[in-house]
Parts: sequence; C-alpha cells; structure tokens
Amino acid sequence: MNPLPLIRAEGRSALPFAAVFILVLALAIALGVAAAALERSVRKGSAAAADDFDLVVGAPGSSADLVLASVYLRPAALPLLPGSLLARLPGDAGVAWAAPIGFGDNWRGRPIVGTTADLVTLGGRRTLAEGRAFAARTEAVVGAKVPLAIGATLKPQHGAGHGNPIIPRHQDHDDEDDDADHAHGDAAYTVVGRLPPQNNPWDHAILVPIEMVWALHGLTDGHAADDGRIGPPFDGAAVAGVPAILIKPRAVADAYGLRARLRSEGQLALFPAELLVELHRLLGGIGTLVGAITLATQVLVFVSVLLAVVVALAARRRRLALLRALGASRGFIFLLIWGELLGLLGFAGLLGLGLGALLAWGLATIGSASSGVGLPVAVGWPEILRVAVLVALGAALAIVPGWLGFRRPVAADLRG
Amino acid sequence: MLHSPQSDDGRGLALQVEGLRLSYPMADGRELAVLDIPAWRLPAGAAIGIAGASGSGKTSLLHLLAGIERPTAGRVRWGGTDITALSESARDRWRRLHVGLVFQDFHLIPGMSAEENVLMPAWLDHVRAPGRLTARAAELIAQVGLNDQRRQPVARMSRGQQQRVALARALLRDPAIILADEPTASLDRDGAGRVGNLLLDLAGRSGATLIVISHDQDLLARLPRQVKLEAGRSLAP
Ligand SMILES: Nc1ncnc2c1ncn2[C@@H]1O[C@H](COP(=O)(O)OP(=O)(O)OP(=O)(O)O)[C@@H](O)[C@H]1O
Ligand SMILES: [Mg+2]
Repeated sequence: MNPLPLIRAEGRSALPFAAVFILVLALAIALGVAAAALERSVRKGSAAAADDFDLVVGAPGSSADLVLASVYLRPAALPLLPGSLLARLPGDAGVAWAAPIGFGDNWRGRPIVGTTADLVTLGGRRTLAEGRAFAARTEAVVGAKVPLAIGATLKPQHGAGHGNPIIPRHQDHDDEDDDADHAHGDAAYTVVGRLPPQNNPWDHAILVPIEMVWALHGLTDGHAADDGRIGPPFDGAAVAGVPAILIKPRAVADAYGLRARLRSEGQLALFPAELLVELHRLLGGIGTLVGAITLATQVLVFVSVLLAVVVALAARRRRLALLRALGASRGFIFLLIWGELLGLLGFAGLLGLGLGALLAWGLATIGSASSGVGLPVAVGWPEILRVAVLVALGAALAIVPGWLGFRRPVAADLRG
Repeated sequence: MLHSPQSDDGRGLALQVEGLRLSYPMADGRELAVLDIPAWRLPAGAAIGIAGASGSGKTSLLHLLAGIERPTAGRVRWGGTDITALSESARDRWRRLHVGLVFQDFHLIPGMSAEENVLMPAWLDHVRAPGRLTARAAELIAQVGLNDQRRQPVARMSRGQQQRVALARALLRDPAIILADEPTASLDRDGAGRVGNLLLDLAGRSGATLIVISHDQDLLARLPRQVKLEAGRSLAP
C-alpha cells in the first residue's frame, strides 16, 4: 500500500492549514535551536577570549570587575595595586612574564591600554600581524580592527573607551577635571604594529607603553631615572599604582603557588578561566532552565497542533470512511494519518533548523558587535539531535490520532 | 484463502442472504429493528433495482451486502464466501477485490485529478499502480467520456462529471459486484440519464452482479428486475 498520493492530495487541498501548522511548529523549533546554539557559542566565545589570561592580579574588590576590565576591557572602577608588586613580580622565580594593564585614555571611543611589550607579544609567543611591538613611549600597537595603518599617528583623549573613565577622578590633572574627553595637549602615538585578530574586545584596543599613560596623567612614570626607558624592571617607589597585572606563570604548579602567595598578601588573584567555569556553571544552569522551558513550549505547541489535527480528523471522518468502504485496511488509515503528521513535523523540523540557525546567527552578530567577544555560532549536531528528538516525540504522539482514525465505525461515518 | 475468487468467465457472484437482521439500540434501551430479511437470493450476474421509502433501510442493506457493516444476525454469502464470518481485515481485503461502490455524493478525493481518483484504489495495495490498472483506468476514463478532463482536479468538475469519475473508480478492478446507492439522486436530468446509461452499460459488459438503490423511476425502469423494500422487511417484486 502507498498512502503518499493521498497525503499529497490532502496537503494540496489543505495547503493554507498545512502551511500555518508548519510555520507555527517551525517557529517553536527555531526558538529552541537558537537558544541552544547561542548558549553554546557564548560559552565558547567567552572562554576563548580568556585563553591568554592565565593569572590576573588586582587589589581587593570584585573579582567579576577585575575579569571584565582586564579580559573583556569593560570599564570598571578598579582599586589600585601597590607599585611594589609591579616592581617585584617580573623577577619572581615562578613568573615567565608579568605585565601591567592600565586604562585612562581612548582614541575615538577605543580603549588605550597601557602595558608592556610582553603583553603585546605574550612574552615572545605571539607574532604580530604587521610591524613590531612598541619600543618607545610614543609608539603604539593596535588591535586587528582599529582603523589605523602602520605609521599613522593618534592623539589620545582623556577617559577610558566605552564611556566612564576607569582611572579614579582624584588621579586626574586638576585642569582636566571639567573636560573629561579632551586631548592631552600635543601628545600623540605612532602606530608601529598590529595584533592578529583575537575575536575579542582587544581587537579594538590600542596598546601603548604604560609609562606614557602615567606621564600623560601627571603621575610618576615607574622608573627612578628620567631616561625615557619603558618596560620592566619598574621602580616600586616610582609607580603610583596599577589596576591589574597579568601574570604568565612558568608552570601549572607555579600558577597555583603564585595565586596562593598573592592571596595571602591580601591581593585578589584569580584565573579568569576559573571564574568563567563558575559563570558557565551558572550559565549552564540557566541554559538548562531555558532549554527546559523551550522544550516545554515546544511540547505544548506539538500537543496543540495534534489536538487541532484530531479536530480536523472529525471533519475528515467521511473521507476516511470512504477509504475503508473502498477496501482500505485499518493499517492504511493509520499510515495515512500518521504519515501526514510526520510530513508536517518533518517539514517543520527542517524549516525550524534553518530558521533557528538564522536567528542564532543574527543574535550572535548583534551580541558580538555590542560586546566585542566573537561568538562562533554554529548549528551543529546538538541542535540537529534536539530537533530529531522532538520530531520523534511528535511521531510518537501522532500515534494517537492515527489510532483514533483507525477505530472509527465505517458505516456510521459514511452517512456523514 | 477464505473466499473464492471471482468466477473465471468474468461473471459476477451469486448472492445468498439468510436470516439477515440489523437493529440499533435506542436511547430508551429498546432495539430499533431496521432490517429483517429471512431469505433472499440473486443469481450471479443479475442486475436489480431496489426502491423503497426514505428510512426503509436501503442504505443499511447495501452496507451489509458490502461488508461495511456487520448484521445483528444472519449471513451474507457472495459466491462461496460468507462475508459475515470474515475478520475485519479479511472483509476489507474481500471488499477491495470484489466490490465496486458508487455513492450519491460521489466521495471523490478533492486534491486529486480525475485520473488519480480512478487509480486511487490501486494504492490501497500497491506502492505504484501496476500497468494493468493504469491501462484499465485510461480505458474507463475514455468510456465515461472524460478523456480531455483526465488531468483536471475533480473539485473543478460538474456534478455529472464527478459521478462519472466515481463510476470509473468503482470499476477499476473489474469487480464481481457493483453496488450503487442512489447514483443519480444528486444529478440533473441529463446528468442522471448519462450516468445511468454508463452504469448499466459498463456493468452489463463486465457481467458483474449489479444492485442499484434508487428513487429514480427512469433508472429503475431500465433494470431487468426491481424489488421494493418496505420497512426493512419484504423484498417483493
Ligand atoms: N447508526 C445508526 N444508529 C441508529 N439508527 C440508525 C443508524 N443508521 C441508520 N439508522 C436508522 O436505520 C433506518 C434506515 O436507514 P437507511 O439509511 O438504511 O434508510 P434508507 O432507506 O437508505 O433511507 P433514504 O432513502 O433516506 O436514504 C433509519 O430509520 C435510520 O434512522
Ligand atoms: Mg439511503
């Protein structure tokens, strides 16, 4: 037997209804697919952004603020670490390199990050896309998406990018208090290098020697002699303070040792990856909840569609009775009804996957544009499996109308 | 096999009805006796018209003869087969192979063309209609005069045309039994005449046993025998 020609005819004569059914189901499926794919991509994207950040030290305060400001370059008012720490850490036995991260200026809204060449090259591990690391106070290395060519100059403006200045007010020049966004006189940097794409907020950052940032803000420049030197070693007495220090430990054991030691000194020392694990646990919890809610929604949609189908079945009972009168077996009737539903579900599943991928892609594009974190969104096997499970569930539920149709009394239904 | 196949010489099957009763339970608990036919016989290849007042039980009788409904008591034998003794699935199969049905309301599948409607019974057995049946469908469509409209959706056909499609569908498998329930009742005079002619002509040619229920005196008059059903009881000439 072959119910397909009948299913096709049925679909043809009930096209508007079938289209609405498929669309409603597909939208429900698309929401679930998009939610799952996005959750995965946020997890991946945020973890990838923290890859190069082994151990971050800050003065006691909020660990979330420390990670947001240092890893994701989100503005936050961080308390300052003592200069002695910056002087001591680069020479520590367990430390491969340690680089300060200081904020305060921006160029057309892009954060200017004061640091050392070690962070630019990740201690020599990272080769630049173009040019070289800065070697003088007025040189800068730009992120992959900063629209400045090698050799171009830029004038720093006061105030960290993205709005709020990160450096606390009391450290500002008095004469700059009224105008937070005006230029530092004639100070300018020359671009000498470009970072490879990171797919994170650092793509928009401009890296400069921290000595210049301090100097522009009227602070001591970290070195005893006024000889224009940059980079470690620093003179602790000449460092006013630094919001965060990024440490690359030599080995895993060193990492834990350093963290313990810094914590015992009263500092905030953490592995961003660790915080992200916490965050992802939370996110995972939310994801599970969202997943459960979307699944419940989908099941409800499925059930209501099936109910509509059962109602529609009552309207079709004469036609089904006719088929029986013409000699169709009960199995044929069952297959016909079940096959029709499976067809609806199948179309809806495919359409839902497509729409879901589109939706996830759209939301990820908006999300990464606003956060700077690259969201590698991809609808993959987890989503396909999810839709397959849903369609299988629908197919199982569709047994009910199939069975109901199968049991109708033929003679009574034939009378109409 | 529980039932005998159609006779080899292409003639219809003989009917033998014994002690046939059909009743429905009523709301007050009593039984509504719809049919009570102690005995009735038709030779193979007979053609007979059944008249009777509305509610006299004509459609119920047809359902019993087609094995669509089970009697409260009694037997219906077609050829050597007692269809009342068959299981539901065996009856479905028997009906598929031996009975051609024509209804007052055509009961076509609206999303299909004329051709597909005629071929539809083939898909109850086969994944693809075998060549023998597609050839037969083409022949029947030509015989009912719908060659030019064979690809047209039936939903856009006149009532007379639709009933001719239904007639062709009933005859697709060259059934040994043709049962028609008021085949001309919803057609105008011309349409009724044409469908009536085709029914008698095609049934006559196939040698099938033909039972036509009708109020249509013109149609009844052209059948060799007529009986009248009165309150489900006598099948008197
Ligand atoms: N499922 C049922 N339950 C109860 N009564 C029924 C049922 N089916 C039919 N009847 C009754 O059986 C009687 C015969 O009905 P049937 O349809 O066979 O009459 P008919 O001779 O075909 O009438 P008509 O000429 O109007 O088509 C009617 O009184 C009808 O109400
Ligand atoms: Mg009737």
